[in-house]
Amino acid sequence: MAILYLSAKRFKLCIIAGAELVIKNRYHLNKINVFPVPDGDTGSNMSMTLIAVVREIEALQDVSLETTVKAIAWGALMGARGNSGIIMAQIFSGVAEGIEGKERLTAEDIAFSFSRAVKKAYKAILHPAEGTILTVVRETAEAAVEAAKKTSDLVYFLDEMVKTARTSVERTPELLPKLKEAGVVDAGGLGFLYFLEGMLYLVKGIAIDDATIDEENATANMPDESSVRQLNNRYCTEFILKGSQILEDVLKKDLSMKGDSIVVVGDSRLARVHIHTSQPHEVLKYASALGQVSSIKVDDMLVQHTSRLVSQKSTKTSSVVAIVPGDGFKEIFNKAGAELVVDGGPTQNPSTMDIVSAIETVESSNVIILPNNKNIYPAAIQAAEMTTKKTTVLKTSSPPEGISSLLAYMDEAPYEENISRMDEASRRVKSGEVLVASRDVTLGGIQVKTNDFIGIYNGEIQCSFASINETIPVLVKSMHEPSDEIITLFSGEAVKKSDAETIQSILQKSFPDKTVELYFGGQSHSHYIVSVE
Amino acid sequence: MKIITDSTADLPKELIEKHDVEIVPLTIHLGERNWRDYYDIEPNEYYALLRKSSAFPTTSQPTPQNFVNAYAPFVEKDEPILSIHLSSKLSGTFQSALLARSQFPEARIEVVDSFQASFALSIIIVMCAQRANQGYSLEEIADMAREIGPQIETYFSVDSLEHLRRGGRIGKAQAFLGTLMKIKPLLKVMNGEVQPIEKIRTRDRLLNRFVELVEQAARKYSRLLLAVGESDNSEVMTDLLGRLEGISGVSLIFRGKLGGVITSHAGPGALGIAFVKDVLK
Repeated sequence: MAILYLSAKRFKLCIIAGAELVIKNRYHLNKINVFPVPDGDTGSNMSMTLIAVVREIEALQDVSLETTVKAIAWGALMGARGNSGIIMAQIFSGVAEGIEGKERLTAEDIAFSFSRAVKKAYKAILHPAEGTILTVVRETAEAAVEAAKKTSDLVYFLDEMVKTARTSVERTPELLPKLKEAGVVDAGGLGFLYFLEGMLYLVKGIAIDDATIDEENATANMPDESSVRQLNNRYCTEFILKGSQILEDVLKKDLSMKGDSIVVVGDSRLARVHIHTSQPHEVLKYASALGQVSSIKVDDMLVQHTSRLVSQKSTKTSSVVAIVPGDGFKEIFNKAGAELVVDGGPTQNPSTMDIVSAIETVESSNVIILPNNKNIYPAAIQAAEMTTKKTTVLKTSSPPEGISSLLAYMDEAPYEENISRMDEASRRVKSGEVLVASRDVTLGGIQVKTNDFIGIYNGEIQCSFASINETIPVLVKSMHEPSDEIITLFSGEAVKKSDAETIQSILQKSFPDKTVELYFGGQSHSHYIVSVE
Repeated sequence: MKIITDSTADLPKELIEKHDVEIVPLTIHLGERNWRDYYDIEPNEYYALLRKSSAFPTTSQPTPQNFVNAYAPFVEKDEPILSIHLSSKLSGTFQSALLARSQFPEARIEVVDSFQASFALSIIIVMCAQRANQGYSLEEIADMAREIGPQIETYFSVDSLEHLRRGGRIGKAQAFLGTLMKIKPLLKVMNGEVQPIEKIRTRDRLLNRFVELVEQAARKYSRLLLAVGESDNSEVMTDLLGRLEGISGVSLIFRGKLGGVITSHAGPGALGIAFVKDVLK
């Protein structure tokens, strides 16, 4: 019986099956990786990218095709690693745009959206080279359009795509001399073929087992060592750039002066950038002038090639990763013992991959994460699931909770003991904040006017005044209990030091038997974060 | 048997008299002034001076001659001497006592490194005095003291780590120095040295931690000997003792004050507890 369409659920399973086959073959893909440089990580990069996709969609239940496809695109963009990973991400996001509004996928839909996706992938690469994954996806897309005209049976249709992709992969050495010299096919292209095959297996109902792993040619076709020695741009540099008006073309042109293998994907607010360069610092300096740079990964491909990453054993029982809003908090958390502090807050949530990178970077293989924000908690949980390190995310929903938790951390205590001590400590502090109202509103009986200062505690507006000097004492009054001892103010980025000191003395007068402390928090979303303990 | 210790034991007056303990003082230097600990200056007087002083104090150990002078009258009377002192990791006092002991090769003198200081050292002294009353020999008592010393658990907190840092007695607790937030560090004396335990923000939490530590030990050993001490922090100590009252199996041997030398290194506002399994009954 012919299969005429894919539902959201089935499409999801297809993607997972495709990812699975690539992940299974990742070592083979690493081994045959010679272009653009033989850094031996194509398989790993594609796998990481696809793992991000799978994590994104795995949990989805009974959702529309559109939601599923968007989640796929988002996961890929978030997790994209390396040239081939970024190209895969482009293809997913192109497919997502192409099937917007559809409830199920026919062969024609796939052919149409896939063609779009290929155009998008070409656009992402500054100097598209033939004989790479780009050639494979382009030729496969052309075949898909032809096949869709002939049949609506998805098994036949996917079979045609796989056949074309295979021929195309086999032809890559003819198009790209470097591949021919090394006696291999293009690793990225082959990765894409695996992905398609995985999808086809699922549609046909064939289980993916170890037999599908392509191992026989791997060792015979190892890339030639000498090709690495000629590397000019030996640093593979990747980062995410967040800005308000990132012009992709300008960015690509500017970057081309600093290196090659340039890939830029994303939109005007968020771009993922990949470049091979001899001066990674120059590249990052340039990028940081355009916006906020994060998730930086710089690999020396020469080292990578000769001595693939060796994992280090650590003696530390646990490492703490904290996600904080603002430079002041960064310093406070650093000095209080957090091993790595990641930028993040209500308006600058770090991506799951940012958190995964942080987890991978710290010394210990037991990691404790302090998200310090309710909205970051889910991303942190997701990150914890994606790493092989033992990772626990504590439910700290504000920076003061994080500080309280971190102060209870002990270097030499066993991991589990630290977790329970820190978890308990986070609940010993109450925290609120003061920010400016962005519109007129009445909430919980409190009338708020635009530009008034509002005091928030426990997720609810406690008070609102035109003057901040009035707002803070009333907010603290709503938070404090007689047994409390310390009131701590953390001033935001926009607050002048002298103003903060004035508020500190006002508070001290209102609460003469408490200690009032003032620190610079540097958060951008609120004037003050205030804690009572 | 005569017990000789040094002034850092911070042994309360009534116990000095009761057990007839001889105290060899260390010396405190603050600015241009010097005092023999306890002999020339009482703790309360010193707290007030130290709080007002902009200079930081230093201290010096007794000379071997000071110990020779302390031992001589009892050696003459042929009385065995137990000379028990401040942790050799924190001071050269033990070393001075050992040198003095070598001047009397024939005498029965046992010099013991307590691995402790202040009220924790005093717990050992009180236990030794009780053993002496029960008729144990000098050698048996010295062995017990050497065994008990490292078993005593001593926890304390200070108002600021500055005094420990300046005096060079901060040990591993220097890891707490960089903390930007104001904290009440909870510290432990372990293997004769100061070790960091936890960074605590509020007094309530600190006192509860002390209580937890005593409760844990009381559960483990069923009978505990407890001693406490503070420097210019009497009200908080009263609060702590109130919280410790309900724990069964704990006998408070004494509530002491930190003397001038210990306060020179811990600063005013310190608070500490020491406890050990009661092996005497």
